[in-house]
Amino acid sequence: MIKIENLTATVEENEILKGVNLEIKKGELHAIMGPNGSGKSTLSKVVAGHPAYKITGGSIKYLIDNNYVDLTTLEPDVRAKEGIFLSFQYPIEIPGITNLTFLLESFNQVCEHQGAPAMKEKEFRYFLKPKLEMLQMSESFLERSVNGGFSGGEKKKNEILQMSVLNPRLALLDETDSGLDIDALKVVADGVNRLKSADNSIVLVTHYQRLLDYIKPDFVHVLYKGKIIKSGDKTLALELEKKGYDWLIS
Amino acid sequence: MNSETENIILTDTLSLKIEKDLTKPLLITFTTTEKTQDSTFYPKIFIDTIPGVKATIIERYIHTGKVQNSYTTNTQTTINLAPNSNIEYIKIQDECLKAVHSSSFIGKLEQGATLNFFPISIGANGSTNKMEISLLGQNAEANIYGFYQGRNEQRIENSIIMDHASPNSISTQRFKAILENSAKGAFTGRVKIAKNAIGSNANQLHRALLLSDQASCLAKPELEVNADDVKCGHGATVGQISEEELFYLMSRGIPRKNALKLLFIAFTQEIIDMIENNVARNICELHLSKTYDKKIKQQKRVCK
Repeated sequence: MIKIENLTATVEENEILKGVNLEIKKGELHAIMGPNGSGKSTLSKVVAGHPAYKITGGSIKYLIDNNYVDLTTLEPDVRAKEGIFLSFQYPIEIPGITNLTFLLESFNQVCEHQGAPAMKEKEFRYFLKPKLEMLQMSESFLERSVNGGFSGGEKKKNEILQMSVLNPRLALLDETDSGLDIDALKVVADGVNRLKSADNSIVLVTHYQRLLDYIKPDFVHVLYKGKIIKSGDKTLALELEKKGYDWLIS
Repeated sequence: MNSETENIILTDTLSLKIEKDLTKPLLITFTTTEKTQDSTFYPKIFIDTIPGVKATIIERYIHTGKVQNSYTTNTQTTINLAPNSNIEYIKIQDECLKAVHSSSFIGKLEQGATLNFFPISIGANGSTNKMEISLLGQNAEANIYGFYQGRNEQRIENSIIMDHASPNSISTQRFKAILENSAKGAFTGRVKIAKNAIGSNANQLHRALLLSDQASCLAKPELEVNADDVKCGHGATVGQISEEELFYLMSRGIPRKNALKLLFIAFTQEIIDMIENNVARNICELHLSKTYDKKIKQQKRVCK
């Protein structure tokens, strides 16, 4: 699905990624762990195309129509239309636009690109209903402004709602567990598990092993100082939980 | 002609008294055409109300000519609100871009009266709006929710005198501005609280969005407080389109052009949403919507 090779990237002149190598195949679920400031969020933002992050070296190749294309030349909206989804660590509040307007615009833009028919509001509400239920969100969320006054947990649920609407091929979930109480965590994890399929790939960026109790990764990577220093299966996460990161660093 | 409103079209003076609740908004339209060149107009409006009535009034200035021409509109509106009357007043200035528009709005509120005033400036090369509101009776409440925008060489100036002359009077001034190219905006909001106006509450907020390095905006609050036990607040911000908001929308597949349009609508919506009457709100949205696409072209590309 995606091949990242020797990727280096800066933000405000600071080099954050210092040669990341990562390949994610269709149907795989990867977890990227690491201490604060190791570059986890940067990696996901670079893949999604955040303008503040500059790629200084290496490559990101993404599978579109059975060809690996250079992802870095695509605008963020085109990346989204091609199936890349970033669940934000801190979802942005946009007062003045209702969640429904936002979701519908987003959905129809992606549909148009993929050659699917656009939906009208009434039909779209019907389409959203089971998705809202899955995330235990009330329909009143649709009438509120985008993330406006949402609690931390509601914002994260709203991210997963967007994921379920866009049905991405590659979802990057950046600290989706942070700010969630245990009940909300279960709901969100359940949502992610249901959206997981053999045709898509998911990357969980997380600080703690807690989320991995509910979503089982195929691979676990440790990102430290801008490089992946260790990769393994899910037992690596348990080991990290027990021993911390120090044993890998020294 | 719009059947959803009571329509009045004129070029001179209108004097009316609101004696019953109006279900449809009263739409007063001043129209200039392409024949209007080098002229000055002095439209005047006088409105009185009887106690307790409720109405929505729209005063708007439009230009129907295909050719832009220069003329001056010098307007004066005076409204006296009888006790406990409730008036929603929307002023839409959508003149042609070569015109000069100068307006004076005087509002006098008696006990328990409420005025929600929406001055919206879109057109005219130069636009000066003076507003003077006197809260004469106890518990009178005046809220001004303004929006203005300018591009190219447009100049827009709003100045307010909010006079709290009675106890427990309430006022709000909330303005939003979008300025691009070399447009310049100015806002002066003066709040006067008289010695006997104890328990009064006044707040003011002015937010400007500057879309180019040459655009500028000057916001100046002035407080003149002579009473104890009052609440006064003011604030002003000047900013650009948030790159984080833009990226968020784009990361969901929304192209830059559409994302910017959504953000402009979002910025103005906070003001427009305060209009209670649906028909009046739709009329405002119609006047504003045609301006979004023009603004989008002005935005510098920062992505990539």
